[in-house]
Amino acid sequence: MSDPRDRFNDGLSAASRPANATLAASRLEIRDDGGRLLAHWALDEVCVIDENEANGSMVFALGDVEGPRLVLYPSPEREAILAARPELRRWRRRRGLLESRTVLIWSLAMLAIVAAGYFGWRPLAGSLATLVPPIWEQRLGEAMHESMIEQMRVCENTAGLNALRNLAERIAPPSLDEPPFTVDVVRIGMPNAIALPGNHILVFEGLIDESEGPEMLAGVLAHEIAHLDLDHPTRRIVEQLGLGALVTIAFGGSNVGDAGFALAMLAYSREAETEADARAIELLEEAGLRSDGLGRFFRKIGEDMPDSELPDWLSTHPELAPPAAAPPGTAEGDAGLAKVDWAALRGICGKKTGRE
Amino acid sequence: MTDSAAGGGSVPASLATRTMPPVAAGPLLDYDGRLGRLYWLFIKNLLLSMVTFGVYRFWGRTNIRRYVWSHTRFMGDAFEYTGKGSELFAGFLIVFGFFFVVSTLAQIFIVAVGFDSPLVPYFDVVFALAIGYFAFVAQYAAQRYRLTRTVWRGLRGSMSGSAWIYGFYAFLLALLSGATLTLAWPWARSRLIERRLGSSYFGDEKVSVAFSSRTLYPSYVIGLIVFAIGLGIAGWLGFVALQQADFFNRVMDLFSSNTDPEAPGDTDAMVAIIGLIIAVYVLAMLIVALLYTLSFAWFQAATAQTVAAHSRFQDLRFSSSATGGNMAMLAIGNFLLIVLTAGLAIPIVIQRSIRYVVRHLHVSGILDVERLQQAALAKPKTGEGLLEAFDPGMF
Repeated sequence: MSDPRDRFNDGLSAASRPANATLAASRLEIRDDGGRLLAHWALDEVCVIDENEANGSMVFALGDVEGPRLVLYPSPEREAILAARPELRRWRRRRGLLESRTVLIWSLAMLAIVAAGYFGWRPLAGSLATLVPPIWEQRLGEAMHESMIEQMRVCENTAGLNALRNLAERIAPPSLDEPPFTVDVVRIGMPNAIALPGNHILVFEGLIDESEGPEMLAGVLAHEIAHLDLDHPTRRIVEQLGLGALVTIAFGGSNVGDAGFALAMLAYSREAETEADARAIELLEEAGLRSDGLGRFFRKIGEDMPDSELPDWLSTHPELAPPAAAPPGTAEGDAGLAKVDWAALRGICGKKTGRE
Repeated sequence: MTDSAAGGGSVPASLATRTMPPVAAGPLLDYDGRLGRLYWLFIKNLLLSMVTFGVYRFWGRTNIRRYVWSHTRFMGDAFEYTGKGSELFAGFLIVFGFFFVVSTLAQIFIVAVGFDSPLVPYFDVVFALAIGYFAFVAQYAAQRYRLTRTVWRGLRGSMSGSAWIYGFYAFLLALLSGATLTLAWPWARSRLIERRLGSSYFGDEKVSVAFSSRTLYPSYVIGLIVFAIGLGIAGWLGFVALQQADFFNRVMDLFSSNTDPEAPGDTDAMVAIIGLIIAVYVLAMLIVALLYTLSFAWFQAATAQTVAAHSRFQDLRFSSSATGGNMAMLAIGNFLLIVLTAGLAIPIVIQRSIRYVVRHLHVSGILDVERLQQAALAKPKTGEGLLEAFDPGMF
């Protein structure tokens, strides 16, 4: 006997009819109490939609969309159907398997996309950067430059600035003429300098203090100029943030003017630093200057500070690991600045205050 | 199981049905989901989402819905959720791709006109407004998706009308509401509920709903006043407390030139004060959210009562026993559960919320099941992508 609560919904109306379901060869015949045929389903197409834990009833259908439904309570007739297609009992596990397969495929697809992005992005960014119109690059650089200059104290001793700018002018290749490059000194104790897109260079006061002579300063300056000549800043920004963010910065994101942010963003790869070092030596030699300053500067910084205290920006410098590997350069050529100019530059930020 | 129903569930069998034997009395709407099962689904979702780069969460969400639907019964028959994780995922990909392309184009446009161009502020405003518009479109589209994926006795739901047009309508009403310092909001919200609910079908039968927002105004205005006063008091207390703790002076120090980022002591102090600022901000947001929930609980309850009382589905009538008190208990309980467990209590929140609805939404009258036919309106192929973009949470 089938269960009196067994019922059938025809998928056309919400009416439930008492039903008896019996197996006939490969078909499931569903009849009402009077024996009238309500529906017949091909047994292979039947699936289980749900199972009620409380009363043991199962909902059968021809697919997991709307349509006819057959509700059967435990009975010998239902056992016969489940015996004919045993996988119906494992409907939950089958659905789980199907789900896992789809999720696995999509997860692998996501993994592939992430991997492609991770490994393919740098070369792609390099070529994207060449597509950035000069005017955008200029705007971006100006936005960064202006807001940094606004937020930091700039050293404005005329004689010192002139000396520095003349030195930079001597080193700079023609690529830095358009847009015309700028050099400023900002009052930050770190021995560093930074090159911004659009041919802007900021020299930190700490760099001038730490340089033992004009040739060291000229070396670092040439290194920054080389970054600009090689288009590193724009490439790095595109690489770091994607084209979209390049623009966000151009709009004056709140932390644009933050030197720490700019330094972190413009932290180049070892390859880029090596490239810039090599180009710096070339530029110095072309200008007839001593080219051993850069290597000596890095060695000095490396000796002054134990590894753990090295600022992040220095840690990617190949010269520091091992320290002896700095590009030697040659002592041929002049130092770049006359004694009086060097003195003016040393005092560019005026009288020293407190800590420094 | 009975094919008919009345308030309380017992109806003379002869009047109601010729086809199925009558069954014991009980509420028409019933939920018997178990918390343990929900937790299992939730934990599985959490863990698998982590190892599948977030891909699993669409399937996880589908599984939770399927569980909840299949343990919610109407007239003794459980609902079925027939949505698929792949539909939610496809919807997400479409919307994500669309947003990616649009925002990239927008940014390129801005660089092209120049970031200091006078056009740019307008552009930002347009972008923000578009987001607001899409949020309303998403609300409608998501309701349609869920309705078309809900099956009961083999019939499914559907929804007429265009989500894009609803978006415009809702957007205009929201602007109007803003222009009236939100005093038009109870009225506007009522029109939007009418529109969404009144376009909803189950089978071939539409929900009919029409009501006046007049009865909602007392609770709304009182809610506004309580909220404003509460904000004032909380703000004042917070200010005094922060001043006691010397908070403002310490924040000012952060911006003063005396601080040297290179001095280790100063750096530690900066980190501490920034942490403090974040903590104060988060706490303030939580207090505002709590105040808001509490102030408007009575308005929410009044809305639920009014909507229920003025809705019909065929010959079914509805009523709600939601009150400000029980609504506030539910909302604040849920709020604290989520905040205090950092989201780990989500299954409890789901369970409480559904139980609340089932306990306080009363259905009475007789559903003519012979007359209720299969849905004719089409169903969308992908699900909720837009709503996904506005992150409706776990369920």
